[in-house]
Amino acid sequence: MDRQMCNQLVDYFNEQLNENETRDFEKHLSTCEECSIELAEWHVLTDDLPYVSATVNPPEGMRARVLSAVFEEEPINEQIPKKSVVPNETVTSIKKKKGISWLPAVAAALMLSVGGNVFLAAVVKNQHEDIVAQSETVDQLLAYVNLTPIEGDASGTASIVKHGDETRVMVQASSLPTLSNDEVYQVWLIDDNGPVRAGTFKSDSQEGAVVFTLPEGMKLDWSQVAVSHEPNADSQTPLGNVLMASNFK
Amino acid sequence: MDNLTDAQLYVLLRSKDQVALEELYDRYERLVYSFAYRMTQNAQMAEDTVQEVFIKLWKEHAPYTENKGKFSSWLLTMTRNTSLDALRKKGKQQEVGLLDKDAEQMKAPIDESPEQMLDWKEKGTVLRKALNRLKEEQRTIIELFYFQGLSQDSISVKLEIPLGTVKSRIRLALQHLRKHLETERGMSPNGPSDV
Repeated sequence: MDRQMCNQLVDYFNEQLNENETRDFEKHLSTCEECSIELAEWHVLTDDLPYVSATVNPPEGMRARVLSAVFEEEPINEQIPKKSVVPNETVTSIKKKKGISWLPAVAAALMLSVGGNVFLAAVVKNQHEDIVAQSETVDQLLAYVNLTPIEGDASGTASIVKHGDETRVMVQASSLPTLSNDEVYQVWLIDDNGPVRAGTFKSDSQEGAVVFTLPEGMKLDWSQVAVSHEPNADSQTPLGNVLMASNFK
Repeated sequence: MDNLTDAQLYVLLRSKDQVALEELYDRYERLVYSFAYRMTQNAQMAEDTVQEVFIKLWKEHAPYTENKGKFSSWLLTMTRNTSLDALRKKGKQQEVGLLDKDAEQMKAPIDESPEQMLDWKEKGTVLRKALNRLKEEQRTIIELFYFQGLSQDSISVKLEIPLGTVKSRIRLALQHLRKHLETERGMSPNGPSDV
């Protein structure tokens, strides 16, 4: 162990090292378990320290000044290409499909989505290229499916993308039913053990998109993806109508 | 929009949704400003820090993901780093002993009551009590290390301690703080009721 190097943890934490020193320390960090643990420990131990700050009222007019500076010289929504709902993520036009008969039991609807429908599970080549073209940071497309309408006319796509060390689920949807009160659209990933939450979103325009980063270490052999219309953002299992679903295989 | 979680708003923000940025701003304006003020002890620098933090959020797509922990923690780390940058640029030195002043301010009323404010109030009260239990030299090293972001050289000089012991003393102070925090939380699991 390089004790002198280990002592640089203080300056690394406080961003006091120059670029080269930072690079060297990070190299050291990757091999020194003691420093890695201590760094993580410091992050945890200092996590709440900001809350020791006494509440101070911001100066009058700060909100307007800050937001004006933030939005200055930036393209606003209208300048974003219409299809790019979320940068770095895919949004592709989808052919609407007629709704499949609604089943009142959500579980049954999910089961139907597995067995009863013909899914467009194949990766569409040009859509894949579209994704890569839109984002330099997309590393690997693991799965891509068109979502089949189950209830109503909603349609969309779902993809799972390996982005560096992260795995993200991206869902884009259109022709969504109108939300009221606390209602949300909820994305679910489904395997033999049932559905797991994978992103929540809302939209006023019947179109929407969500990117959800899966927790590290989560297995990736999901069999299906579904989007449901939930009464609020807290549902741990689908409580509302399943709008669309698809198989990954 | 106000029903969305911070992480959901962040996703929208990345698609250049100004309303999402404004919602996050409104949720965190006071906390970010107060923390920046605590760090810089200067109203203008604190406002500049708030501005810088939200510009980073908006323009640079600072890479937050939910597996990095809570959005609030991530935002406050960015606030700390931005405040330290501002202090370094100005060559501004803080006084030691601010943590004692924080303790005096623990009865300052927080009259608003959204979730974040309650969380802030509860965490702040427990923290101040735990910090008060530390020896003065341990409070000082936390002040110099965390709130002033000094280098280990500077801490060594200020505290007149050998350079090689700075890291271990910081660690010890933080570990004691954790121990006191656990005690405080154990005593008041539902948060403070005396403020």
